[in-house]
Amino acid sequence: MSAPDVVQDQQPQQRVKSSSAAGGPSVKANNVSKWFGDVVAVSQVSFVVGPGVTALLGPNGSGKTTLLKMLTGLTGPSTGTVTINDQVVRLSTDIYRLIGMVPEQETIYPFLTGYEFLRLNAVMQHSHDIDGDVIRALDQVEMRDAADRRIGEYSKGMRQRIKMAAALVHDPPFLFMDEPLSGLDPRQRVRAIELIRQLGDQGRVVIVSSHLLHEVQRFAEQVLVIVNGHLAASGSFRAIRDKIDEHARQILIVCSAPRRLGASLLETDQAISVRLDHSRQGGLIVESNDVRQLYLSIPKLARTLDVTLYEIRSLDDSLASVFSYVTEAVR
Amino acid sequence: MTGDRLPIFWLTARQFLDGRSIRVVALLAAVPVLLGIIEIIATGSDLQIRNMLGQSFNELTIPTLLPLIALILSSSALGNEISDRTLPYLVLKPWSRFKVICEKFGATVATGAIITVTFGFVVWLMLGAISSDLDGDLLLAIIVASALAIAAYSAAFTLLSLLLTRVLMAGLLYVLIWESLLARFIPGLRLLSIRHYAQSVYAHIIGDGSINIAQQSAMSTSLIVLAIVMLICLVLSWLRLQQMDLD
Repeated sequence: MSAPDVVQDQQPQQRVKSSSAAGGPSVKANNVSKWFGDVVAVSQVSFVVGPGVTALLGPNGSGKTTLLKMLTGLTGPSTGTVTINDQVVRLSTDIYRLIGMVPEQETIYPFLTGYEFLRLNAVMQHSHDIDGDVIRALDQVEMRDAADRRIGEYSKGMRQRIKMAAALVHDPPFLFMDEPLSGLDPRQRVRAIELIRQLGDQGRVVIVSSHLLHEVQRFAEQVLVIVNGHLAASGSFRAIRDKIDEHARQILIVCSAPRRLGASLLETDQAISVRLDHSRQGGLIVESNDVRQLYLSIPKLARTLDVTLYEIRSLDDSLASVFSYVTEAVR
Repeated sequence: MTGDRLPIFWLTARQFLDGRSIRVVALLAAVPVLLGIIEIIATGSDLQIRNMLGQSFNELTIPTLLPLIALILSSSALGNEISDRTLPYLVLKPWSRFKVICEKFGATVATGAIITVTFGFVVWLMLGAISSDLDGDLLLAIIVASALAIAAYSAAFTLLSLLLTRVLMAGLLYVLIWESLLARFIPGLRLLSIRHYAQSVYAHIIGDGSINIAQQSAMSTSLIVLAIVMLICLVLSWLRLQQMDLD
């Protein structure tokens, strides 16, 4: 993905403007839809993804996992095609030499040791140096010490890491990860994010699904935003953040003198409107389209007015709200 | 490493060994041993022992125990892997899905056949210790018919486990209503049951007329029909696995 566009036009086929370098590795979804009975899970999604880390971002139930399954051929699209390096994925066996997948589900064969599980994956990938590949993958996720333990005894975080190792055992140029940070403790999360970034920097095409915006911005430069099965926006993470920042957002301030602070805020450029929050003592709700500046102004004003601040927080910084900003065209 | 040539075969065999299904299968396969012990306690003549063993295999093991064993193993081999969503680890590989089916099927047949043949051999040895009438033909018939029946039933249940989510329930209905009841007593339906051809092979190998099968098919016909059933079920399983949307 080269062009950092946020695209929300009404032509699904043209939604994604970014593309990989000519001849480079790429994943293409061309007008892909998937429905289960009357339920439309994914609707007319088109994009091209090239090397680097691309996040598939969307709230729970938005169609991310279904889309990821179509990209890997686990599920066939109802209409449209998915290709990897211009080869149709579904029902192609050879393509799986190029693909590593970290599925969302936690279940792995509990009776195998971590080593045996990776060995199984290496054998099925026709690895020429099975033991070497297994050791390399174990080291990549720092699981060598636990390799001889049965997977049934692993913690959730360890299972997540051994799944990542299994996807990496044949050193694939394409990686698909469904919520790979789920279940990891903070330290493991930092390491996993580092690993994902490294994999992208090495020129692989890495597509990672997540519903956590703050998580995504730590590893992905490019984002595909999926909402209600539609591709709502795509492009660089920064462009999407800017798009979000253009919209008015609500900030809750709890302070000792909400009327005085509210009146002063209205005199600044950052506040569009203010109103008292009667549900809590000292509550004030400020609407702003320049939240960053507002956050800087509030403490200064409070000090000047001798107002004590107890709490400042965004009321609509949840992912669902963020999506609502970038998806107006879809809705 | 042994698992390197047939990784899914060995994985499935280990799945069986680790799970509960193998214990249930062993219990079912032990039923003829139990009957053998009862026969020893209440023994009459040598001829009665041979008849008892021959008839119990024909009337109980082939139509009921072997399909149940095949059903339990087949549903564990693929059905459980679909329900616990581990199948993507096998199909997202440069490994043909027909190979996946064949290795799973092979592990099912090998496990089922080893267990049933072992228990059949134990019964034969037990009864042979007190009877001079038990010969090698009976043992050979038990081994060949067990292996063939397990293979044909396993192929059918492998297909069923890819078509239905409640494969155990559907399989039980098939075993108890179709194989053990309808195809046994309704003449026209006999030719549409795996049981009939397995019994025909069994009766042919014994060859002394002690086992009477209604509308008994020729040995070659029986072998061909069983082979065709296996082949059709495996090909349909492969096609089904190709088309399935996997979680």
